[in-house]
Amino acid sequence: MRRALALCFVSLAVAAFSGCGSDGAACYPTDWEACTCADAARGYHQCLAAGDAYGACDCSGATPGLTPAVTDAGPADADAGPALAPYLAICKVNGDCESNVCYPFNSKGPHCTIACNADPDCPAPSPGCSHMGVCKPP
Amino acid sequence: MIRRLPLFAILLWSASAAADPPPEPAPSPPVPAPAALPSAPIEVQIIGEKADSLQKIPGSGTLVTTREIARAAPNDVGELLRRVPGLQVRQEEGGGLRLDVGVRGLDATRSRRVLVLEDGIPVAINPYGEPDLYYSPPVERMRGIEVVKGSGSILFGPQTVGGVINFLTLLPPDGRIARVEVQGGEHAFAKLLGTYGDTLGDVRYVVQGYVKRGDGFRGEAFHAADVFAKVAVPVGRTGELTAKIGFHDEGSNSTDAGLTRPMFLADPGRVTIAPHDTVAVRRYEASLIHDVALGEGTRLRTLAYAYFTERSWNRQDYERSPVAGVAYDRIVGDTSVPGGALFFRDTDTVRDRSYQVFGVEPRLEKRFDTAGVGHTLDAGLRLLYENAHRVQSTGATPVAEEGLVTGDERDGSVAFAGYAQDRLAFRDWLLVTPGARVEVVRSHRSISRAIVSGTAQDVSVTGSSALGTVIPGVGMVVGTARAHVFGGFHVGFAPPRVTSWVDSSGKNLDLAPERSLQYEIGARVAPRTWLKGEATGFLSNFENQIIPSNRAGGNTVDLVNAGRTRHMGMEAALSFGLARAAGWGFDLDLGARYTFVNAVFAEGPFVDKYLPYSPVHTVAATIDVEHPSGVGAQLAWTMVGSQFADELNTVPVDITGRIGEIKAHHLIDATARYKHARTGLTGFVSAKNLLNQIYVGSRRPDGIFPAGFRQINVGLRWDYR
Repeated sequence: MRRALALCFVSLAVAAFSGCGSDGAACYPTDWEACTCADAARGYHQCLAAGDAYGACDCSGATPGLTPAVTDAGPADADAGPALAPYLAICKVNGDCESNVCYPFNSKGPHCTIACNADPDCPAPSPGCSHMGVCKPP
Repeated sequence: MIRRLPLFAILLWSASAAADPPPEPAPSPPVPAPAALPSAPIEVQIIGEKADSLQKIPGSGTLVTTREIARAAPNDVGELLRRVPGLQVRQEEGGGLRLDVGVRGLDATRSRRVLVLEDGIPVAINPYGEPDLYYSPPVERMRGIEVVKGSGSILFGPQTVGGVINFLTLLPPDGRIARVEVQGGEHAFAKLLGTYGDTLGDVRYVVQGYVKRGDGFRGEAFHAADVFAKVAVPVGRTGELTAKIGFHDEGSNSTDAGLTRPMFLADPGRVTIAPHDTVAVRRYEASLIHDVALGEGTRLRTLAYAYFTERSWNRQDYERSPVAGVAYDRIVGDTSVPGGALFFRDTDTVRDRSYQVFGVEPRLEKRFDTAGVGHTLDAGLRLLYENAHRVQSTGATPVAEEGLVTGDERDGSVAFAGYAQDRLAFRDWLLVTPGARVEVVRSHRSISRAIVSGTAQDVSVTGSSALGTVIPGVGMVVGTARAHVFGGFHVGFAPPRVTSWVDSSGKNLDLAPERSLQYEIGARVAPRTWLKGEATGFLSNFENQIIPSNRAGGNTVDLVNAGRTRHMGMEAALSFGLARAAGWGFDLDLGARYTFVNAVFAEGPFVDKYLPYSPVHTVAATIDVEHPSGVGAQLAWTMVGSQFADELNTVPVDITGRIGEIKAHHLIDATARYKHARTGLTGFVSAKNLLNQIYVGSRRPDGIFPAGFRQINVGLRWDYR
């Protein structure tokens, strides 16, 4: 009886600790991952729509999200569209701003801003530089 | 950096406990309870376990009993605490390795606003300087939980703003006991636990160890190993010395980077976006408790303790707006929308921290009479020393465990506390309990490396600060043990964190401690053994509450002054033993708890807005069935009302997921078990979050952290007694 009991627990323990993990998607569409180009330069490849693999390596030198074509709707055409919003004005996309940086602040919402390293980098009326390296709106 | 404890040794030990059982197995009682231990409690208790214990508490109090713990078959202590009125518990991950509990609308992050004790000994990594819980007391070692929120909490400290949670661990038994338990379930969860206790002459001891692991709900794998032991030795004719040692080791994938709104909408159960982020925690603890009767009605209980915590957390660096010229390792999310993606760099930041705490605390209890008034005087002193060493490095890869040191600092505090509380029994039905606590603390901070003008440099910055304060309180109970009303008042106190007391230039900022005026009034009735109820109204006025906030717009959460705040509400609990009332010959118990909290800013730009992460309504209900045949089951429901994530009480969710309403959610847990009395074997199944309704658990620290994932486990337990 005792041997059977011990065997039962040991078997269960082995079964429990050797259990299978859960399977997850290989990647999520819209995600990018660094890849190496033929010249050893860095490129990026995007997860395919099926989520099972990444596509071909983009070796154009562009960083997803940084290139205007990918960042937003593109810079507004000064001749065709409205004037660009000034520093710390409310905005929707990067292309709305003179600085081409429309940052979604937590409590204030998206505002045009500029990059900064420290408070002195931020002209008034900004109260200073945020942890994200952009000037905070007043 | 922190190595795993060899699991194999514990597996062997547990297996040998099963393979070599004691020679004369005896039938076990039908109700499975974790190692029912009859010995007298020898650790510090707040409430006690006598029938009239709650009547003697000057304020609201809840005792979670051994039986309730056994019935719930909890995966973590948070599961039990969320059924205590007045508490809010945030579900964080699947391993039960973190505990985020708030009280009456106070922020739950890292349980920093509530004093958490284990056998009367603090648990926070540094109770004064950094009262955060990076180690959650394992539910496996618990035999009870005490929760006190009224003026009774001034006997404990340093914090008295949110109340006290005291975990009671297993007692050394009077005879041989053994338990072996194995559990497995969804998400590759597995646990193996062994407990053994016995006597050697007059010496009693208990040892427990477990290992557990899992893949986590979102690919956030975890593992933990824990061993603790208690030995009780008689000292003299009326004294006893209890030594306790413990070791805990854990590791898990854990990150501050949460999902964006589009990510959550597309797949609420999406795997972590920061798979390289890992945290390792190791804790060593040792304590001695000496208890001696010094004549009629006088006891002296002295605690001496030390515990060390090591925490190493590696997190891959990222930003939400790309920076020209920076090469990224991964870009996660929608880059076509500002704020819709996270740009992970090739580097990480390594946060190595270690903490030490030492304390000595003699507590005297004396009962005496003066002029027909009965006195129960509790008085004590506590000397506590704590220190912390924080090192921050920038690693050259996303998984680096060391790198260029960018920050190195040490801080510490020496604290002295004295307290006295006298329960005056003018009549059996009239108890008045005045008391006061004095806290004196001196802290120092020393920074030897920091980033100056964008470059990591050796520096020499030191600073220190000190404060002293008196924390008074008084409570009154009118009535009998079966029905009484109570009311009380006390001052809430929380010392400033060392890092906000002394700034990075070494300057003493002369920050005042957080103070609040806390009032409560309530009633308890227990007209029958099968019917109990309690209702409490409370009001807490903070002079200046410090809350976590990411209002600065960054990806970090800072502690900021919220100004005056007001927490007003009520909480109620009811339990009804339907089967006992009807004389059905088994147990069918119904329980319900409700909490209403109106926690708002009382001044400033956010006046009358709700405090972030403070749900107005929380409801919990349980149904327990227990039959003498050994069959038992529990069904538990919890509803946590909607809450806000920012001071403006913003309802729309921003793209980052950090701002916006957190909608109400429902949780249903179910357990069922069968105990075969003759063999002592219990088979059980537990289903946590049965609905599998994934909800936004938190928008902090930086994005959406989903919760509500279903976890079904099955297990087999063998008890010998």
